[in-house]
Amino acid sequence: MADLGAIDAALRRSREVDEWITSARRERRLAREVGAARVRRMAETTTVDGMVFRDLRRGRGAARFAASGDEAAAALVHDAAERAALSVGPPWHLSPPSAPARAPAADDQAFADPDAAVTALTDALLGAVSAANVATTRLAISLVAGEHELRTSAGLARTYRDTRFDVSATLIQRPNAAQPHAQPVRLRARRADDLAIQAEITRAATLLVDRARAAPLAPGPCDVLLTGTALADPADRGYGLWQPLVAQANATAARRGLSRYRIGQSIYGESRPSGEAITVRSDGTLAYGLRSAPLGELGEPVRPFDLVRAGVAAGHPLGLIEAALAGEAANGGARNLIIESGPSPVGALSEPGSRRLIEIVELGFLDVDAGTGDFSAAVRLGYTGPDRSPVTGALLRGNLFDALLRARFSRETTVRGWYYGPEAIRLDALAISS
Amino acid sequence: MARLRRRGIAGVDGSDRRVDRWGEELLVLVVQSGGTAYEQVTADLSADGVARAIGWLRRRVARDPTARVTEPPPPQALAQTMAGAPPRDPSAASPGDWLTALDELYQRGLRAGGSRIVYRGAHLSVDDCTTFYLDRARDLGQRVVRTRAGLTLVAWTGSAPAVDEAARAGTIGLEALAIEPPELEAAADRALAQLTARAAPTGSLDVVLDPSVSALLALDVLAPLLGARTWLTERTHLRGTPLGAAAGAPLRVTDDPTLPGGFGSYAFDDEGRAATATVLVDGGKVVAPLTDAASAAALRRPPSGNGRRDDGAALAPAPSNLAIGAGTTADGAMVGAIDRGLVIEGGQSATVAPDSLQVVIRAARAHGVRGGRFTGARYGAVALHARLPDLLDAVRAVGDRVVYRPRVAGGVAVAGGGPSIATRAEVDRG
Repeated sequence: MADLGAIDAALRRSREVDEWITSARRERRLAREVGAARVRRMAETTTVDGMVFRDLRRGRGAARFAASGDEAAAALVHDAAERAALSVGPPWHLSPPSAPARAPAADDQAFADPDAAVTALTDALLGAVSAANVATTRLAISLVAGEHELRTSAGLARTYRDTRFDVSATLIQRPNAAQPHAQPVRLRARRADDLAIQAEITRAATLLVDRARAAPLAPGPCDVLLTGTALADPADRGYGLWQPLVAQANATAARRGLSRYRIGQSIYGESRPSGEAITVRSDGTLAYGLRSAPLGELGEPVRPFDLVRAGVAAGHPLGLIEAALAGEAANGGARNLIIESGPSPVGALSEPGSRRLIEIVELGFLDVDAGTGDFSAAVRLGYTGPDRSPVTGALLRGNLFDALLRARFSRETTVRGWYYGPEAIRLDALAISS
Repeated sequence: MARLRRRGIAGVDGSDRRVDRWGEELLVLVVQSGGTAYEQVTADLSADGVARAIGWLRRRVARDPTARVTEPPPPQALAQTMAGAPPRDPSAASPGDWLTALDELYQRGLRAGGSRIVYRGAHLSVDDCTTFYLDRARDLGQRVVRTRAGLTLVAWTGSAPAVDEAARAGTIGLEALAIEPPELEAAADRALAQLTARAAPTGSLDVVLDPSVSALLALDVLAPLLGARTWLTERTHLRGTPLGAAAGAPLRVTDDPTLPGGFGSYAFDDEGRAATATVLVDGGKVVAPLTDAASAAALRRPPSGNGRRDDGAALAPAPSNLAIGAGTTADGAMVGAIDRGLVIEGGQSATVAPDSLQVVIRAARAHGVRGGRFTGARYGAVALHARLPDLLDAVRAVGDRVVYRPRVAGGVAVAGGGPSIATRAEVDRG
């Protein structure tokens, strides 16, 4: 396989290419499964790829390439340059290199010895399950340790490392029953310690017990207090309930005139919020943040930026190309989400009003229309009433933008994977249906 | 298993033309020892790379004190191949040919819908995958070319985009781009119809789910519930629930990787098991889950040949072409199966809670029906809510034509299929 050095040399020699970006990623993936199948998996992959850019009369040509097989670097570059002549869009140029974000993203110990890290984590998980006195049907642990190198014709040359642990387990009660109660646990973090295995398994075991005695949730209007994984699931590949806020800020959609609101406009449309106006910030520079990285996909520096400031659309996630087209500085796209906390303690938000209040701690599923903000969510576990009786089994329905009109955010904050924000969010006047 | 993959994407719209093609290689080595499967995956298929991967695997097995490596029995070479070259082989065409064909589709699309269409974009994606599977008893090889192409059209309602698409997909080649003007006009009409659509009536209503909606029911609701992982971990409540029997239209669900031209089709799965059709639900009763070898062993069932993996990721059971069985009612007669309600079209998403079997289905639009005829009223997006057993028990007619929808889920190509289904559900505005 052609290496990065050979490709860079071929790119510098090429008369067809005006600008270029190259990257090499070496990833080691270790996985273990304990359960019906016992599997130890190790994947080691190196990817060398990049983009070439050509300035043509019709605009800027761009093409991606990936090194694979035994093709010569010069042939790879020539092939990409020919495709770039066909793939022409609006003109733009690479900006001079900016300093990468100082965002450590690797668990050094795990990076040095991934096998030992996965073994230690497996032992910790089995120990936590045993201590919680529950059974499991399957435990799966994986670690991805990556080394990234990025170079551009504008002079950028950077390397960085990252790690990511994933844990999934299913705790069960009454394992021999025809319909045993099951409690899934899904954790994701950059560092093993941040998984908080013991605390999460203990919490899941408590939820398992509560769910076994939970009563069916009656339909009707309600106020909702979102906590726990109902606020954000660390294993979610998108942004869960908050996905519409990110999707509406998409720079490409905005450039094509296809977003619901523009920068400077209220996200609530013509309505005025009666609750606390939401502020959402993307920050990919948080140390060991799940979605933190020093550089974006094409070498652009990752920077924090406001998506929504006090209920007003404030910024777009901007990768390298969209930033150049917009004539703005790139920020590396949407990363970890920071939702600004409010003035009220969780205790005050837990006070019921005229409607019944349901504290929802876990969702069975969440279906969100990123375009409209409409959502439906199955309540896997919630609590209601003065004695916090567990309830389950109905659907929570609403519209995110509408619900945010009456939102109140707790003073206490929490971190759940990519989510940094209030420990509890109160959304009033929603509907539960059967 | 070794996999050589050539992928490509291309797109043409008002401001951009792009074409990208790249290759990926993958070698998966597996040793089964002492009840544990050891896997080593590498992307370096050079002689040195393969030797290095074998060395890593040997060392890992040697470090495990429980591992026992025994001498394999002598190989029994069997050859099975699937010649996968489609009529218009994408790999035989140049990037320029791709763009020319895509540009022709875009130009045809410019005439669809007029100036009220604010965005048009033609797209093409190709996954040309050759897999070799070698073990002590089998030598297998297959080439599968999966192509998706289409034209996306967007109108603007004043507050939100109204999107529709004319598309084709399957284990086919560049013939996927042969989307004719009537299909493009129909897609434009669907997008524009949303500009004048009214808010849909709500409440418990009779509905006809068109195939685009029932295909989502198959792929996003039934497939997760019928996967072995769900059976092993969540203990789905689907088992023991007779599905659709109360309505006299018992459900039949089949997964068929041998479907000619199917987007999820293959000759053998990623464990080298020959593809065969599996009946998952028959007469309303769940009779088999989707399994790979490990989950089949855990469930003490024969494997269904659904072991699939994305490049470098873990192998897991996944559907191929999973479909709800056809009924006997002609498509045109389906609307006559309901007295007063809605025909639901343009399925967007479907979700299910495995424990409560609550289902939410979102669709782009609906048409009013009264007395078994269309009223002419057009409605905007709707969300359907129901418990799956209730939705199926309320079925009163099933269409005689199954339509498939393609999807790449977790890097694995699958398709969901379904006929028109007349039933009852709680309707809400989407």
